[in-house]
Amino acid sequence: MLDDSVEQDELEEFRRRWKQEVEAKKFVKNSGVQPQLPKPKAFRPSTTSVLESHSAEPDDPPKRDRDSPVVGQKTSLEYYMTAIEKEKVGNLSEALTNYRHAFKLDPDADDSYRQHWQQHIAPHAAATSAAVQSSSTVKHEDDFERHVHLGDDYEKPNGLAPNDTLENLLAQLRGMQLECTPLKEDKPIFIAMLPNEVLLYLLKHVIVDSVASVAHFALVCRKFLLVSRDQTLWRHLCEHAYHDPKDHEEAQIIAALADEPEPRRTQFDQLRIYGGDWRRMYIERPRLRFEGVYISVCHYLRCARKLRKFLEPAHPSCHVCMRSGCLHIFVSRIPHLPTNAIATSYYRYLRFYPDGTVVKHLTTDEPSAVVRLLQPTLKRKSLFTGTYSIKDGGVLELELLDADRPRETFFATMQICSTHRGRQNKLEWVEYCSYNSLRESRTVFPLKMMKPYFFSVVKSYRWW
Amino acid sequence: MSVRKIKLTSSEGTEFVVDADVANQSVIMRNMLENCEAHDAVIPLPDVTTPILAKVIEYCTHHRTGAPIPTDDANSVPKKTDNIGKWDTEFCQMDQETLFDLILAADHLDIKPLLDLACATVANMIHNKSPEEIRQTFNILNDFSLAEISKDNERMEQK
Repeated sequence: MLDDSVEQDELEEFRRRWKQEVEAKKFVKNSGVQPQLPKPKAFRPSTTSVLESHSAEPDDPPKRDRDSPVVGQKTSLEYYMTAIEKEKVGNLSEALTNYRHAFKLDPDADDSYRQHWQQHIAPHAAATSAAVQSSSTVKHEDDFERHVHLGDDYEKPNGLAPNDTLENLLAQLRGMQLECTPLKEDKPIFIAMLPNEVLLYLLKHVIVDSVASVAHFALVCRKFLLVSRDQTLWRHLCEHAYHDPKDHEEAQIIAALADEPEPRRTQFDQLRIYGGDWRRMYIERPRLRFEGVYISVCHYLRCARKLRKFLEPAHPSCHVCMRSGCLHIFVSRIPHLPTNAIATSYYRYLRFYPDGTVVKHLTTDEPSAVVRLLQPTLKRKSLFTGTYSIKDGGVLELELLDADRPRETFFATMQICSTHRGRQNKLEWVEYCSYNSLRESRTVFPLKMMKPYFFSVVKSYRWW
Repeated sequence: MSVRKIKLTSSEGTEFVVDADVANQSVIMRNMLENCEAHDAVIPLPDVTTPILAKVIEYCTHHRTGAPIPTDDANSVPKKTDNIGKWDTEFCQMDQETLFDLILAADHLDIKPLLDLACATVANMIHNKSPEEIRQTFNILNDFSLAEISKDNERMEQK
């Protein structure tokens, strides 16, 4: 017992020292950004504070601000014009820098420019492949990337829901007759042969597969951007993504009898909340993600003496990883501590299916080994199967059974949340209890050791 | 009772003779044949070229089952991109031009399974690719102006 408390003390000391270091670094960075740009034409004070809070980003933007006072004060318009000049010459990296300065100072710099110089139209420069990163590495299906949560939860902005950032652009594009321009002049673009309805039908295949692919598709060219925003596409996706699984069979029967299928009626009711925008509904309405797993991880230190006979000295070196908000220990032994302390992690996995079933697994095995095998038919200890339903406000209710303990039914209530990294990524514990049918007793489990679940994509999962 | 034979002519005038159950997979042709009483019907298809028509017939011949084809529902589930059979996968090994012509033909003739198959094949070409890779695959130029890209980037960062 004494050993444990010593370990805790040293760990605390370590944590305290590390926190101090981070604070010191933050201070230096903030003081570096201090030289405020004197007010140019359309200066928005909010932009500099946004820069400061962006501590996770690399030093690129703040550094530039430190350098620019040397150049002299410039209006956003001047930056914009410089950018255009650079772009004409072909100096795209400088152009991009100047554009970004312009937009930092005035988010509507392009509109301002257009107003001032009506006879000049912003040039349509062909962005070379230098401006765009291309990752052509083929990702093997078995590769698995687990995402660890860093930073704060996603905070919904107050007031009205945020508009589509590209609304101005889209409004412009809607009035235009758009065509694809070929990369290689002598070769035709076959996909452009398709009329828009057929292109949309094609996208329906893509979106059910992976929404991210449609987002990439939208970035290819202006025509594709416009097509990808079509409401029928997102409606199709919503109808796949949202089910009321418990009523699924009933709904089928009702649909067979009545003209209006029950799920669609519910969908339209929900749609009203999101301003009639199917895309917005998909992004904002709480749902479960089926194309991967939700993982909850718990780290703790254990005394090795009790476990020595089971463990091998696989990782004698200490590798402690620091990321903002969380201290991660990725090793088996920490040599400088007097007694051999071992950092253990155990994982809880949750995998959901569209038909209303769910699989839960508790193990010390690492994600890359487990996710491939995670299915209801998997024969392992601590594997639960059951059903789920989603209530209003993103409240998730699970009912689970363990094959080894048939008399116990486990009830979990969780809250679906979003994180900075993405939507519907996080499940927070609200309550966890079990009911024993033999003893007719209910046990509520304490949530102290229960960590929230975070979502990670698994490429090999096919959920439709 | 002998099987009804249908003569299909392509845009170049080439004639293909097929059984009724092959032609019936196309909803358009099925509707035409129901209205036409003659035993030997001729359906001209001026919008479909010879090689594409040959491909369509090859598909329909392989997939002839005699079972009624369900009527098209605009909101029905597209074919799962992962569930494509071996014959279908090999059938879809063709250059982009033919593939897109096939999509157009399947849409024109209203052969939903073939349309789904061809679309699933193209969807696999788009799936998990970055915008630049998609551009390279389909030979498309990035026509967003640099201003639009940086504006979008700036807004994304400020979020």
